[in-house]
Amino acid sequence: MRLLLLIAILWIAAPRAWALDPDIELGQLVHRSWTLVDLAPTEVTAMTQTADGLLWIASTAGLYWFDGFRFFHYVNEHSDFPSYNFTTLLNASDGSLWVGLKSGAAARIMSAELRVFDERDGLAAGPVHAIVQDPSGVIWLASRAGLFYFDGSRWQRLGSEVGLGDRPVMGAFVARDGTLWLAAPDGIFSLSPDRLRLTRVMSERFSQEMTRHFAQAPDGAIWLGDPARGLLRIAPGKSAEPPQWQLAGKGAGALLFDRDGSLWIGGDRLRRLVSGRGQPIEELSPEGTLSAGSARTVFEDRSGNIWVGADSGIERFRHANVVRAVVPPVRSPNVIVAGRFNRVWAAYADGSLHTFEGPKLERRETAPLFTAAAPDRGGDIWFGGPDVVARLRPAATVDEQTLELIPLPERLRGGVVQTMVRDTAGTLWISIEDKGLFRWSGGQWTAAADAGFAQLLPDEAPLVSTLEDSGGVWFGYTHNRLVRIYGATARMFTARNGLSVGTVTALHSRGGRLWVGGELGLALLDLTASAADEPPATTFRTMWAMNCQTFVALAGIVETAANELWIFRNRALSRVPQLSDALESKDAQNMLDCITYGTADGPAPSPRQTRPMSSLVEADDGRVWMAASEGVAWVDPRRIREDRSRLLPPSIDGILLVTEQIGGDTVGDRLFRRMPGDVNVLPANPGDIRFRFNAVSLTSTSTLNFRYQLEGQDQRWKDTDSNEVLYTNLPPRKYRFMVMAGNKRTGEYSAPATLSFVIPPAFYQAAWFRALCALFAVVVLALVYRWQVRRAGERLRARLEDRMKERERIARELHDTLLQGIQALVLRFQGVASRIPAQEPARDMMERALELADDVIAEGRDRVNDLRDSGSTPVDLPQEIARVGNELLQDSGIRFAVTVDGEPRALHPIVREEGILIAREALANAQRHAQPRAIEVNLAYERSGLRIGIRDDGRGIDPEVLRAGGRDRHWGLMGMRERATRIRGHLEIWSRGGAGTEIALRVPAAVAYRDQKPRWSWLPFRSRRPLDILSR
Amino acid sequence: MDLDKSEQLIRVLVVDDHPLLRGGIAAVLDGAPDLQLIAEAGSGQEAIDAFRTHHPDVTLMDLQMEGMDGVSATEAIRAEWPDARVLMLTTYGGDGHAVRALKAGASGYLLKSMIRKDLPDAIRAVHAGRRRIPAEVAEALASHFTDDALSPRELDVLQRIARGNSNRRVASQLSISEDTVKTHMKNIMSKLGANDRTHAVMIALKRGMIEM
Repeated sequence: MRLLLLIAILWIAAPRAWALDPDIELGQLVHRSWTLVDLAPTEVTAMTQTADGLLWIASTAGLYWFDGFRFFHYVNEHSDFPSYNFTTLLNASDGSLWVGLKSGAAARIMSAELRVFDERDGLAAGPVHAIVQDPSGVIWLASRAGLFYFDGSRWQRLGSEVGLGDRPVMGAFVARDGTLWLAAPDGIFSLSPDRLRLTRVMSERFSQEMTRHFAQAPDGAIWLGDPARGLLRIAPGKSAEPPQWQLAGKGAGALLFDRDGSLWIGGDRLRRLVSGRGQPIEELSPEGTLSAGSARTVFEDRSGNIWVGADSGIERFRHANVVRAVVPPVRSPNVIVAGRFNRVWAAYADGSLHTFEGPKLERRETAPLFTAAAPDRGGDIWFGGPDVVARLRPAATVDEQTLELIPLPERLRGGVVQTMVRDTAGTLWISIEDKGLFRWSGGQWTAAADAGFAQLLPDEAPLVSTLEDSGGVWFGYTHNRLVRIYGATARMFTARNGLSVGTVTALHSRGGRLWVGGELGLALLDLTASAADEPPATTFRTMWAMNCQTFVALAGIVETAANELWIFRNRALSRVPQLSDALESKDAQNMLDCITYGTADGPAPSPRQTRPMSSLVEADDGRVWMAASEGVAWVDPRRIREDRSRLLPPSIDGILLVTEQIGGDTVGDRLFRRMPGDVNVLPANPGDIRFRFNAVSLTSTSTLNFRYQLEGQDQRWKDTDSNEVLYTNLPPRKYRFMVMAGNKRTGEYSAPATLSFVIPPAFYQAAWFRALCALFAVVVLALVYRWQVRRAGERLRARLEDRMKERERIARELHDTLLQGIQALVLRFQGVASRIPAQEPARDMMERALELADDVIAEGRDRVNDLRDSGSTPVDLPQEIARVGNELLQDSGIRFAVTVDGEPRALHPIVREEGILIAREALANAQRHAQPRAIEVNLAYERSGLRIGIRDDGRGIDPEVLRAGGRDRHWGLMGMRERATRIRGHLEIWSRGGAGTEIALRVPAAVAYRDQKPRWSWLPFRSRRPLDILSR
Repeated sequence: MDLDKSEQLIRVLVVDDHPLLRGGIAAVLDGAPDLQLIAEAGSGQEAIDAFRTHHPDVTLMDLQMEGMDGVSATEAIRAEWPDARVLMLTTYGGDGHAVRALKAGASGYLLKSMIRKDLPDAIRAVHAGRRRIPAEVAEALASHFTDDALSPRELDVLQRIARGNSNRRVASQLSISEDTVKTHMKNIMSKLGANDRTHAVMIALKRGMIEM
């Protein structure tokens, strides 16, 4: 007791600046542990946090780092530690991480480089107890071999220069003023900041084996722990006060002063001394934590979490926003009600009644079973149970509060009291399930059904009730019904008034607002500026949740004096800060932006589904109390802590190439190592790709989400809660994967982490290949086209051949049968004629007739020869056309010329024939219609085909005629086109008024030329040889 | 007169593979008092047999016949009976045909289209030992006999070219070098006044120097 008092005195003197709620006990903090099951390291000896946010853990069997999700064993690719038994860690100011080994060596990890220092570098064998860095940046190492400092490349011993000698040093600590405190086997020393003077502060006998932990309190005092002796406090400054041992037997291993000034003490148990009003040291028993054995190290990270490293793993302690009122938890109460003196009462099904004041449970007593309660304006609390109604009168001291029991009349007994409310007139309304609503006034029990307004009331008993500031009483029923009773009037509100909450499960009134919560939603009624007997606003506003769970199955609503709205429903306790602003906001009509407090903030708050009907109350001090399924809990809105630590960019594990899938699930993948700096080049056609990433979040992972985008594939950022993303069928391209970590609660995002890579095209994806394919396709198409054309030409030629053969056959037959026959006949007639005497006139007549017959035969023979002309000579065509033209134009006065381009070639006779006929028609047209001065026919024997062009300088063809395809009665143009089509040729007609006309016939080479393989054109001279035939 | 006539009766053998024409010629001969048709033959072989049998004064021989043609039959008959007088009948003109006919030993040459008017006189002329050559053919012959005629080798080469063989193929067929073939062609073209090989072939065909 004296010790405690001493501590209390010492504490009061200490300057206080805490953010941690001193009312929250160690056992009420949010506590999470990681053990072997989570693949956590065991026998943890030291912990620290690096700038990237990772927690580093040294153990007797290895060095690990933790990102909040998983533990990673540190392995360096190029060098290795001489042993894995680590003792201490230091996060140096230059970003390097120092690790002390039990062997006496020290290692430094600087980005990817690991450097081990041992005897060769100036150290000596013997376990390293501490590595510390002083304000000037010098790194000190305390081991059993002595004290060393790092000069940048080697370790130097500081021993005899200051009188330390070779003493083992079991602990080292740098105080805020730069003094280096040392624990040696024979005492405690301090080394001045200039490192010249060593002062023996205290003589003691300390064991050489154990590491000694120092800590500096907010007041500057230096504390040291010893498992047997307890805690030693060395007062700051040059006070005459000698150091004192306290708390003997409370074996101290590690020591830590957190940012709130509380002292954490490791050892066989975990203890905490809260900087407050002389509270006793709290202990966490081995049953509740891992600290069975020894908590060898305690560490506070940048977010304020307290980490404890122990034999079986690590633990984390965090501020709890939602605090369980009683530890261990008790079952949920039937009733919770708040009242004067900052008291909160909870009544339980086993008949116990708890009285809380502030956060403390002050009184526990037995009481009848209560199921409802109502505070009245006078400060008393009324309780109701199946058999009895009770009146509790609070008093300044808890012991003096009284509970007066009032039995219920017989007819009202045995039911479940659902709700109670005491109005300003003093009438106590009591709703009993299956019995109805009753009033007790002036000692009399009456049924509400007997009142004057009874017909306006539903028959069933209401579920919830509340008292309005003006004195009106509200009752909530099933099926979306609400009733207000004021004086002698009653009024019902239903869906007609905009109410749509389903069964009403919570009612709360404060100031000018009535909140109605039900199974389906939340509604608000504005009561302001109402005459007391008639609320003008009879339309309920349905309120919607934004950024938190929907408002359904509401169990409790409280609008606090601090202008906040608290809503309690399944697994979610939500808060709407700055309520008035939120309600008046023009942007978000009927939307309440709320924050939810869930598992991460403490025990998962969930109301019981049945009783109590009003599970949220506000105490005098502003705390919001709730009846949760795990017991009574409270939230102090003034002391809510959000994790506002800046989010660091996530780390991307790498690119995972999915190698094996069974039924859509990835069962195998290959990690493609990322090479820093270089652009990663994946194999071509990599298949499915997964990115795995993690953000460092030592505090809470439930608010963490990620936002990612693959540049080159995605158009915009996407959100995900998982830490993997899968992409399939990515085309070959350059990519950059970016991912940001986000806090769902605050909506903030970290800077993005990026990973660039390239998927090279598989050979069949490469541009050159595609071009080649395209070229190939084009070539194939061209070949196919040429083949088609050739085939068409061949087909036509075959048809022409058939025609030719037919004609030859006809010719032959004509010749053989007809001509020969006629000739023979004529000869016979000659024979007869010869017998006629010369003087007979008949003879002459016969001779003349036979002459005619000869002509006929000759003509016939010519025609037959024409038919069977099987090989026109090349020069024939120009000559033939010349002859035709000449015949046509001889008396016209028109200049006529025939020109030849290219080497004349043998033409298919039908092509020749049609060509001549077309030319003849064109010449005739020109002569007849165009009135030209000159006409020229040009024959061009081109490789691609034959071109016959007939050009005149006359009037030109009427465009109408051209369009119509030919003058109506003169089918010349149509006929020409038909002829041209027959030989697969194309007729072009160009004409302009006054400038002349040109008609050109083109026949493709495949059809026109007789010889398809002009092997004899090795005299390729092209010349124009005009055969100028002037007409007279 | 009858005696004169019978003494001056020219006995004619008609060889032609068209019976209708034979009938027509017979009719013409019938109209001429001094001409007598003594036999008909339908092919070269029959012609030889008929000649042997009847020994006509003048033989009218169709140039183009199936099997043994007129030229071969004429050669055969002239070989056995060197005094035989043969008048060739042909549908086509062309100096090539004429040359072949004359080389075979024919005494003359008559186009079938001229039979009606000129046959009797032609027979009489040939019987009298004169040559009978149509005027234009004679003119062409005259002009072309002044040129170099194509040599047999040149004709051979040209014939093979006409059948579609390449220079190389012709060279291997004749066992001469390709260059030689080319030289031949150059000469041929210059002799015929042709612009190119096709032209040369066409000219030769037209003039009957080669046949397809």
